[in-house]
Order: sequence, then C-alpha cells, then structure tokens
Amino acid sequence: MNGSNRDDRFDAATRQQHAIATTRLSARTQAQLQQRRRAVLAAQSSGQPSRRHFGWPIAASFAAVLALAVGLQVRQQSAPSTAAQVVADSGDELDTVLDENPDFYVWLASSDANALAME
Amino acid sequence: MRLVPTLVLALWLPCCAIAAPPPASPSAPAMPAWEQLTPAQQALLLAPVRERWNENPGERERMYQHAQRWHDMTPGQRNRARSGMRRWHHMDPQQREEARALFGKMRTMSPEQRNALRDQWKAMTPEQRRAWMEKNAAP
Repeated sequence: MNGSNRDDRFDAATRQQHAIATTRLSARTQAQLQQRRRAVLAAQSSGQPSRRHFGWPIAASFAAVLALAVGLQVRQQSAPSTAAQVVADSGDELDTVLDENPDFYVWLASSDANALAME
Repeated sequence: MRLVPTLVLALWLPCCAIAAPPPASPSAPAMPAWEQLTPAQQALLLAPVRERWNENPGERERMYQHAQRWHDMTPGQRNRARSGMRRWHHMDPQQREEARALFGKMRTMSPEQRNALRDQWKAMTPEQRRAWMEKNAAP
C-alpha cells in the first residue's frame, strides 16, 4: 500500500516537472517537436508497413530531442546565478590582474624568485 | 579602451578555472565561452573592473599599461605570469613588499649581481632584511 502511494506521488511529481519543463521550451523547439509528433502519428495512421517499421526509432528520437531541449533550457536558466557566484568567489583575483606589472608576475614564477623563498 | 575588459577576462577566467573549488554537483552546468554569454552576463563579469576603473582615475593609466603589456606577451610568458600571480595570492603584505623590492632591484642587475644578491638575501636575518628593505623599497 505504502509502495503504491510512493509510486503515485513519484508519478505525479514527474508529470508536474515534465509539464513545467515543456512550458519553458522556446517556440522554435515546440514547433519542431509538434512537427515530429505529427509525422509519427501520420505514419502510424497510414498503416504502411514500411513506415510502421520506423515508429519506435522516431518515437525514441522524439524523446531524445525533448530531453535535450529541456536540458538546454535548464542550463540557460541557471547560467546567470553561476556567473554571479564566480564573480563573488574571485573578485579579488580579478583586481590583481592589472594591479602589478605582468613582468613582475613572470619574475615571481622564475627560478630567481623561487630561490628567494619569500613565503 | 575595449582592450582592458577583454584582456582582463581572457586572463582571469583561466585563473578562476584553476583556483575555483570543484563544482557542487556533477550535474552543475559548465559555463559557456565568452561569446556565448548574454550581454547581461558579460556586464556582470566585468563589473569589478568597471568599478575599479571608475573609482580610481589615478590608476587608469597604470592599469591600461599593464593590460597592454599582457596583450604584448607571448602565450608562454602569460602562462608564467599566471603562475606568478598564483604565488602572489598566497603572500602576506610584508612578503609582497619584499618581492616588489627584490624585483625592482634585480631587474637592473647583471646575472652575476642577481646571484650575489640572492645569496646575500638568503643569508640575511629578519632584521637585516628589514634594513635592506628600508634602503631598497619599491617606489
């Protein structure tokens, strides 16, 4: 019984996530997906054996395109917060780039400077 | 003046890749190349340089000269400079002053003079180094 409830909750949560993801697709991606879906349905309804033969591969392609599209959407949405985190973590280092003469930094990495062991 | 932000990001982002902690989870998305960032993302990343530039008019010439020098370096020189920058980040203020002074002094010396100063420095006590620094502090 409990297992059945868990399955139901998992199923409902998955459907909810899928519904949210599909609303975030671009118009172009949605149009492509609809076009491919129509092609699959048309092939199934025509009853041609040769077309039926490709039903599963086309459906699999449809699912793969959907998964890729959802993944790209999620990636684009999370980019700004990741960029902000990079800046927050490394702001001081960014300043350092122009703080000193770059030849000074080259010297710091030289055997001359390493031999001085200033740290 | 577009040289400064472009160059800074070109130099800084590889350093971040080395210095940054590992991503929080394996599924964390990788950031795209600079050209694929949105204008808002580019502006966000350049904000520290813009702020520094606007708040320090007296430093602009020096910052620009350093950017020009980075630009003129060979890829090998830039790699060594990035390595030196990483060393710089781990130094405390006193060590940085000593490094600046030693660099300023050594860059005008012959190889033999540099070797002599290096040996002399290694043999100095902390008090002797302080006295040397007072005479040879970087401008």
